[in-house]
Amino acid sequence: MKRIITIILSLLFFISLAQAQHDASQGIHIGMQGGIGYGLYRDIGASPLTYRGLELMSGLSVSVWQPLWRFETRLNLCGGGYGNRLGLNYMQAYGGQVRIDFQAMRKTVEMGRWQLWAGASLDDRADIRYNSTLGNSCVGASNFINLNLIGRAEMHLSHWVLHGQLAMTPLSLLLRPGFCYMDNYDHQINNPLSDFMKQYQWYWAGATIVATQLGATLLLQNGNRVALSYRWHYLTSRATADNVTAPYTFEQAGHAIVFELGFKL
Amino acid sequence: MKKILLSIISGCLLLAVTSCEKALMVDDVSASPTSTFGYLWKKFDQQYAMFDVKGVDWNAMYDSLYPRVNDTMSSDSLFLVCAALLNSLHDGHVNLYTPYDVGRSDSIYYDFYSQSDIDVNTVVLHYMGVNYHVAGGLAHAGLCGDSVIYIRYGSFSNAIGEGQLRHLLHSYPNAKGMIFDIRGNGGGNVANIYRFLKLMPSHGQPLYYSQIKSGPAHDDFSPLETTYAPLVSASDTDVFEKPVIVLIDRGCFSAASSFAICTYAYPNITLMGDTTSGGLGMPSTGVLPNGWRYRITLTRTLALDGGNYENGVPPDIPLRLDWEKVWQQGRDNIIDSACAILMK
Repeated sequence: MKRIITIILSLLFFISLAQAQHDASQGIHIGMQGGIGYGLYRDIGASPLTYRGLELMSGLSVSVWQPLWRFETRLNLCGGGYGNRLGLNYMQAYGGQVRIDFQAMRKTVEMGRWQLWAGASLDDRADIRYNSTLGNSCVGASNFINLNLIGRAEMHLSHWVLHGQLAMTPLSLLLRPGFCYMDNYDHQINNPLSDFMKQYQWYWAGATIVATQLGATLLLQNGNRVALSYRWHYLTSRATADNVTAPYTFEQAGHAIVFELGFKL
Repeated sequence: MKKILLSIISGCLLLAVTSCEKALMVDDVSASPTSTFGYLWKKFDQQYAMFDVKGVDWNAMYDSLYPRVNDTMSSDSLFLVCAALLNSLHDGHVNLYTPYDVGRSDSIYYDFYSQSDIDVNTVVLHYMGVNYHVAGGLAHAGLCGDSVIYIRYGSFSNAIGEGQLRHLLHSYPNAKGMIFDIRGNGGGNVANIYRFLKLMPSHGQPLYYSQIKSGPAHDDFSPLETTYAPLVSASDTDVFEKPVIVLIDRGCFSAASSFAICTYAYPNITLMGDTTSGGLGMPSTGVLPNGWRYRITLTRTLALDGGNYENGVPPDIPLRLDWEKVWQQGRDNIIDSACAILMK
C-alpha cells in the first residue's frame, strides 16, 4: 500500500513537472503533508505529570491563492506515544488528534519583497489519549472548537517564499471531562453509547492556543509547490484545577518539522 | 511597516526556538514527600465518594499523619504514612501502588474476605462431582436429581456468554429452581452482571441508581442516573422464571455486590447467606506527583430502596456456613437449605 501511494505521488509530481510553466503562487492547490515532531501534554485531572513523546502527523489540504486573498481547508491527523519524566514503564500513554481547519487571509500590506497577511480561521481539534494504568479513566478526550486570528509575514525571493506566521486563539468552545474522570460510570445496558463521556462538559474559554510557524516554500515552474516548515504550538484548556467544579487544566505543546507537497489543479 | 513584519518574524522565532511552552505551562507539582502526601490527601478529600458511609474524619486523619511526613524521609516511610491514610477508609477499592508494594485495607481482609462462607473443595467433591460442566466462566451441575441447577461463579472477571447460559438451561429441562453461588466472588467486569440477567425476566425495569462526584465538597454529586435491566424479547423462551437463590457472603465484593443489589429488581430471586463486603462504587486510578498511583472510589451506587449498601448488601435469608458440618460431614448447610427451599 505504501509503495502504491509513493508511486502515485511521484507520478503526479513528475508529470506535473513536465507540464508547461505556471505561477505557483496563484491558483488552487491540493496539498499533502507529512511530519515528525516532539509533543507533550499534561491533563491534571488524570495525572500531575507531564507526558512527552514522539509524534507523527499527516494531512491533506485544499488551498486557493489569489492576489489579495487566500483560502485553505486542512485536515490533519497526529498520533504519538508518550512517557513521563519518571521513566516508569507502566506510565506509557498513547494519543491521537484530528484537526479540521478553515482559514481565510487577506494581504494587508505589500512592500517590495515583503508581504503581510492577516486573517482568521475556524478549527476543530479533537484529541484522545489512552493510558491503561488509569483504570476506569484510561481514556481521556477533549475537543476544542477555536476561532483563531492569524498574522503572516512573507519574503518573496525569485522562486522561494520565506514565511513566519503567528496564530492566536481568542475564543474556544471546549469539551472536557468533568470534576471526576471516568469513562462511564452508569451502565446503560440497552444503549451503551448514551453513557459514553456522560460527565464531560462544554464551556467557553479565551486565549487557549498560540501557534507559530517558520518555513520556506519553493515555487516550481510547473505551478506546484514544495514547502518545509517548523511548527510550534501551545494549547491550554484555561481551566483552573482546584476547588471548582470546572474541568481540570489540560495543556499540550508540540514542535514539528512538516514537509508539504502542493499540486496545482 | 518593517517593524510589524520584523516583530511577527522575531515573535515566531522566539516562541518556536526557545520551546516557549515551558514559560506558559502550569508549574510542575513538587514530588517531595510533603507535597505528595498533601496531594493524595486533597485528591481524596475532594473526589472520594464514600465519606458519608465510612465515618472517617478526613481532616483529623491529616492532622494526625502529616506530622510524620517530612522532605527528608525515605520512600518506604512515606509509603507507610500514605498507606495508613488510605487504610483508614476501610475500602477494598482504595489502594496505593508503588513499584515495590501495594497499600490495601487490612480490615477488608480481616473483617470481610477472611469471613467468606464457602469451602470450594466441599462444593466440588460433595455436590457438583468432579465431572461437573464448565461453560465459559460458569461451572454447573444438577443437584437433587437435576431438579436444581447449581451454578458456581467464582469471579465476575470470567466472561459469561449468552449462548453458554442458554445451553446450560437446556441441559436441565426439568429444573424447579436454580442456585447461583457467588460466594467468595471478589468482583470483576460489571458487564457480566447484565449478561447473566438476560436469563432472568428482564423487561427494562430499574436496577439501581448511580452518582459521580461533581465537586470538592463531600456531598457534591451529580444527579441520579438509573441503570435499567436488559431488555429481553417477549418471544425469548430461554428466560428462567422459576425461583433462583443467589448465595452471597463476606467474600462478595464490587461487581458481586452490584449483582446482589440488582436482584432486588427480580421477584423470583432471593439472596441467601451473609452480608457482602460492599464495594458498590466505581473506582478509578490517579497518579501522584512522585509517580505512584492510587485507586479511589469516585461514584456511589444506591439501591432501588435508596439505601447505600457500600459497606455490604444484606441477604434476604441470613445464614452462615456451619464449618463443623463442612469438616465432619462434608456438607454445606447453605446449599442444603437452598435446595430444601427450591424443592418445596
